[in-house]
Amino acid sequence: MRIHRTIPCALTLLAMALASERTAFAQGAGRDVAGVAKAIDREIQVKLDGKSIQPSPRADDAEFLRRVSLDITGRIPTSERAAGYLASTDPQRRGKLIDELLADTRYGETFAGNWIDLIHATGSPPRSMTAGFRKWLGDEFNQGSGWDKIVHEMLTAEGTKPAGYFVRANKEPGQLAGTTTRFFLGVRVECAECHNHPFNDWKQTDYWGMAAFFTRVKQVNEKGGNVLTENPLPGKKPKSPGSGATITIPNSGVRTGGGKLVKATFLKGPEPKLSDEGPLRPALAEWVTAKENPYFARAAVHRLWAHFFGIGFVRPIDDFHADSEPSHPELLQLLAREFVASGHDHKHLIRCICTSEAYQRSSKPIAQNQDDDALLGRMAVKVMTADVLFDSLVTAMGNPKLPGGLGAPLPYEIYSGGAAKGARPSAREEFLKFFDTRDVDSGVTTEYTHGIPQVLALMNAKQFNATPPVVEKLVNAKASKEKAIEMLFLATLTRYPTANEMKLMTGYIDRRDDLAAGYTGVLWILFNTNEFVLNH
Amino acid sequence: MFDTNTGFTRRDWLKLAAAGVLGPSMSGWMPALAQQAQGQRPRKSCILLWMDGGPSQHETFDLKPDAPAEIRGAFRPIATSVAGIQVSDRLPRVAQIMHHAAVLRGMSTPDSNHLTARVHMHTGFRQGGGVDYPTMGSLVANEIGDRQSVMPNFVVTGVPTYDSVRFPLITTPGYLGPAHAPLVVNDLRRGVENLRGHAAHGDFQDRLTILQEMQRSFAQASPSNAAQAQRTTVERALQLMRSRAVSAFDLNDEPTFSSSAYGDSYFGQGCLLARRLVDVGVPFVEVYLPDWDTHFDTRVQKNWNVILPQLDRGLSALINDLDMRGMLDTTLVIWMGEFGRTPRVNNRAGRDHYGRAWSTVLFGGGIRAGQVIGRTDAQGANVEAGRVGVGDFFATICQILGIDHTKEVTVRERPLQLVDRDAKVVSELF
Repeated sequence: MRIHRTIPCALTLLAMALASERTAFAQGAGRDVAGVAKAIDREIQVKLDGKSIQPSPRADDAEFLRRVSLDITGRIPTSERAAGYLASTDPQRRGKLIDELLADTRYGETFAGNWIDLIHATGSPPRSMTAGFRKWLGDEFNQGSGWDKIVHEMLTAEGTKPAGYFVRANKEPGQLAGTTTRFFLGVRVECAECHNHPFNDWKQTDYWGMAAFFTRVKQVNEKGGNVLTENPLPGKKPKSPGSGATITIPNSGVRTGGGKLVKATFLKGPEPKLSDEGPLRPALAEWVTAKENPYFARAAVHRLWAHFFGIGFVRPIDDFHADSEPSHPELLQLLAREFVASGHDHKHLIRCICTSEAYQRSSKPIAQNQDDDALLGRMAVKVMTADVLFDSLVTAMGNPKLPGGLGAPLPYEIYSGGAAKGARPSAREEFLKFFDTRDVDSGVTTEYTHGIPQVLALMNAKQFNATPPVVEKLVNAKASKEKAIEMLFLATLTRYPTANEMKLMTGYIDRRDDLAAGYTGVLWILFNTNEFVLNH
Repeated sequence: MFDTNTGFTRRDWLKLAAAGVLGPSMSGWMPALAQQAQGQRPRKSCILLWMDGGPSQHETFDLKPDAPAEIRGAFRPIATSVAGIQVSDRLPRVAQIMHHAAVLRGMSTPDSNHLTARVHMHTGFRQGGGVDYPTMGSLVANEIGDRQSVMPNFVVTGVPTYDSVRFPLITTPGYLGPAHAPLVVNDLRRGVENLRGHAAHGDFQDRLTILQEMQRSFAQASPSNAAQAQRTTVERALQLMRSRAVSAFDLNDEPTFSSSAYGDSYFGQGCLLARRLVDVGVPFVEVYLPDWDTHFDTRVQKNWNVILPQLDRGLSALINDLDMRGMLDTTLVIWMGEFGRTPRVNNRAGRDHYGRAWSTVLFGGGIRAGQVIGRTDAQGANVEAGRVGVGDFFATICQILGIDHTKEVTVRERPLQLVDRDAKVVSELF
């Protein structure tokens, strides 16, 4: 597939004008979810047939409930929720569950968190603004705003708006060109920062042409705080008339083309007419988020797809180029078209994906598909992010108030012999810092990245060895041993124990002095299993 | 830590794992441990002493006694264990180990900004261009570390300068991936965190038996790299809990006379930890010493009165200790910061950042020691001979440690050099 070969002609000024009616609220609501899900399955089946690969059977309700809860709301379900769902015989229960999870505010928070991780991995955003940005972006997702509107705001935010977090995280026009194209267009033009790229068709001028759109961004301290603006500062002389927006490639040892002047140019697209002063980002944002921009929708659906399936159509997920060979090119196009038609509606696309048989398949391989992990014959086994692991642990423990102390004091604290300035980080912050070992930037979610320190912490840190509320509750309720073991399995693995597991666990409890110690030990065992820490 | 580069295909790997070939079984960890305790040491090891902030060459290893006062500064040169080599009079103990040292006085690097120079001198490459390069410890540990070792292959300790948020310890494994990140020992008094279980011994064993059974059954039903990797990591963590090698992290174990030789400073104790870790086979340890960013008088005073004595004691004790134990020939010790400092003292009685001409020092590792390589001009403003760039420095380190610096690596289908292509090894060291 060579979609972007067609871009130069696909984009016209007319297209830009059309695209300016950005959708405040996405319109996925009335669309045919089941139909799209079927179309997804058809495309996947064609590829499986081509290689004579049989798909795994449908996941059972327990496997599906755990997976879809983790994927949409970023944590495992409670034991009560699991017991209720597993008892349901409603034939519509999976569809209803998806709707319910998408209506949960933790949906927006989860996806906002993913974007914050990505922005953190590639830049240095202002920490003081993280909470505000999380709230803003989470609300946008929860309200169902169109992705075009959201990205438009992230790119153009002025003043002290939380949406300006993304732009502020990037320190210079070149970095902004790199992250904007990767995050929102799914291409890695930054490889051409220093010279034309030998292995794809990105030119150095593509990179710097995009960078030129950010040359007027500055941060100014005003009374109301630090302000993001592109307007000329008072007293500054405007540039010579007619010079438009340009950037000079800085000189550097490894770079060719230093000193060359490059005009602001849309990626593989036209050179827009721009004024000599004032904001340039609106013109760029219009182009980036236009319905007709083939990169934009493709990048968004691809990122979502990879979130749910653990694997994208190309790898890395943000590196489409001329020679990319996506595993399912037609499916990718279908998803992108549907996304645009729905008004860039994330919730709609998630509904379509989660309704598909492909998503609802078991992660357990069968003989006829065990040798393939690209064609989606079974669900991938994914790792949890640090946020998801923390929220899942806390959910399973029954929401204890966790003490800090997971991480050692900051080095300078020890060194200077005194306490650090400011408050100690919360137990959650400590956990995230310690357990976030992923290479977020790579987009890979199937690789286990915890090392020995993380495993030791989960086994031996005092936070996970105290008697948690869930155990106290079971002891106080005088639940039978068997019932208690069932509840602990539901609370952690979202399933009932097998007969053998029941036997092992009752035996373990019987060898302890009291029930609380027994249940705490059972929980400890469950927390440290691969089944618990993975999303399968 | 977890090996993803075995040369097996993923499928082979899963099959082997399912068959129980890979990964020590839980019941077998005792014999596996015994092997590791007596296991072969890697051929060479490396200790990087990182002088965060950029140490002044005129106050340490490249004095200009004949220059005017505003160049020369306050210190005088003293004789060392090598005739003809002089160092600062604030380093009397280091002066006695110079026969183990090679001073590179021709360091010349392009970057004079802490943020970028710290990364440049840690990775050998400038930031940018869409590639994250690994820090030196990750690079070296990946090349010469023992992938099957229970002990980490790369440990970082010590304190970075002033602001640990803006200037954190550099621990990026870059394109090698998180498995190649170092174990960070934040608190030397506590060593590795969370090494002791909470449950009583019998209870703990009881739990492990059930855990093992559940681990195996899930990895069999849903075989995946992730499930297998988690299982292996848990098993290795358990091995570490039982390992005698891990007691290397416990400085309380050290006889007082030895630990006092290193001084009671945090840096000195970090040097002691580095020696203990290298002794049990850890191939790369980095120890930070902060407060070299001597722009103005108060910082200068702190550096002269606190930091230089800590360095003198810690570094000399480390080299002597390695030498006494017969480990110096196989252990390269690097003394460096991100850049040097301006030849001229500024109007605040300090010196500012300077990359054009500065010094690093190498000890041990089998190099030709007892020499000074390179020369700066009378003021120390320019390199006159023996210029060493960032790439040259990295190529040299690789060569000393037996790593082919011309090696290519492929990252995301992009061929990259381990070390800058044009780099030249400092041949006088061999």
